[in-house]
Amino acid sequence: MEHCERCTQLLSVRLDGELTAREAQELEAHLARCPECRALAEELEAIHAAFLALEDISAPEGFARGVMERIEAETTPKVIPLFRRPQFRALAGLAACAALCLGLYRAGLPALPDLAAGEQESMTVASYAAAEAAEEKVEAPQYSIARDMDMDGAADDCKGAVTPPYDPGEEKENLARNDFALYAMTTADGEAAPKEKAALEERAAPSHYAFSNDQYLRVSWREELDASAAVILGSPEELADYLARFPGDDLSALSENYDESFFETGRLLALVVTEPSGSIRHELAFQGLLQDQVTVERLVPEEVTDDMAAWLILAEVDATFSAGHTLKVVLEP
Amino acid sequence: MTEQELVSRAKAGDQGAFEQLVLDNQNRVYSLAFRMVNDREEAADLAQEAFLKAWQGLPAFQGGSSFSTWIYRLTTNVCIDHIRKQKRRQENLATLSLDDEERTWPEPADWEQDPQRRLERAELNRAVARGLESLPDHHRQVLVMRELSGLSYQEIGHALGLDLGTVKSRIARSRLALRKILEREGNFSFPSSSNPAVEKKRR
Repeated sequence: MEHCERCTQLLSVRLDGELTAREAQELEAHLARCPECRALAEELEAIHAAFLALEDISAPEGFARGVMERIEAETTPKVIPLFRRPQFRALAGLAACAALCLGLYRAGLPALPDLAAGEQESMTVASYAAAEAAEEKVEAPQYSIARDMDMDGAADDCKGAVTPPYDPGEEKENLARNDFALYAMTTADGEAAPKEKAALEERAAPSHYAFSNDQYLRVSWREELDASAAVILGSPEELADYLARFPGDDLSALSENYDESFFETGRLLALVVTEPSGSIRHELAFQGLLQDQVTVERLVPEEVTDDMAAWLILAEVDATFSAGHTLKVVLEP
Repeated sequence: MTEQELVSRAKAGDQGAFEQLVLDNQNRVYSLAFRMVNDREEAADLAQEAFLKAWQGLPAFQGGSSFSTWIYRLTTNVCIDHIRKQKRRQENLATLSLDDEERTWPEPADWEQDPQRRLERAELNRAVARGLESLPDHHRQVLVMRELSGLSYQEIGHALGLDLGTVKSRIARSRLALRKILEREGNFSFPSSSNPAVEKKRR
């Protein structure tokens, strides 16, 4: 019986044209003396052939119209207008906040000598360059679609349409550069913004990625919390390391929820937002998740308290995001 | 207008041309999505998403392959993404053994009694299509990825998070399971394999 099971697999592999010479020999030898498996071979071949001739099922009524409506909805962009709106200029208003965050970040990271206070001017120049680099990064989702264009028949990477190639080494460098980019966007608004805007308008609406089960956990505010980048966590260990940044908070439920089996196929997007007020709430923007950027909407009530607050934001994303990957955090408005 | 002409017009922003491309490919694309997810509504949604991705990707589409090949591939990818998300959600429910070595389909009682049941090819195709719908998800998906999307073992393993050995054996078992379903439904049998005892042995 075991032998015939082995034979079934070899027959199947033969149908897929993947038999090695040795396996082919083994199979032939077995078929020569096993009429049952010869019969099985015939049947499996018939099924295999039937697949090639399967009839198409008609798409539902109005299918094409539905596609065109979705295209229209997408080309009336939901992401880009953020930057066209006056709020984009009002990012200047955010500058104070971001500068504060950056300042706090820098205070927490004395190991970045080129950020020394005396080098403001050269840093601004550097940050323009970084902003450009960041723009290129933001294009990643489009590039990832482009990757699939070249495929002929047997294509390269089966998740290519949504997963751009990823170089973790390069990403680490970009973590620092993304910090600069945020700084450039928020402090050099007058000059950097038109540049960003033009670049953004030039291309079609970027494809966004889905996320689910987003959660917002208030954590103890500390000066050294870094609110400039989101990170993709890909294992329970990475989650534990990340959560270690919040020593005063009981986040054990998270570790229990997101175990090995979750990370087999899922990833966690994690980021921190710091606010001057605990009454400001947040929401990950619908269609705000790109490969290299995540937009967080700030929900500011009319009256705010003035307690400093930090929020840990988590959302489940799929494995098209690589562990360790960092994303720029854009606060809106 | 040829597909190539439609593609260049669509690339230039002509939505009418793109709509024609959708109409020309919608049944193939929808069929693939349906066979992947086995749910008509979901399939329509995923197929539309694939076309949406195609529209977004058009500016970079070099035409190295035909549009129809390309959209088929995009559809496969969209479905794989969907399956992966779904798999994660369902993992708790699916603690039942996925690799169903123990599982047996009831043998049709009249196995031997109907020798003239050899089906005509078209009928067999329809039977396979129906049989596919009765397969459990994990069997149907690998078969569709292999037989309809033409993915390699490696690609399937990558898509579903399985090692090569598991992909090979799962595809083999899926073929066997499909064959069993066809026999059980009484619409698939070959005169050459006419000994029910053999079936029992093979499980």
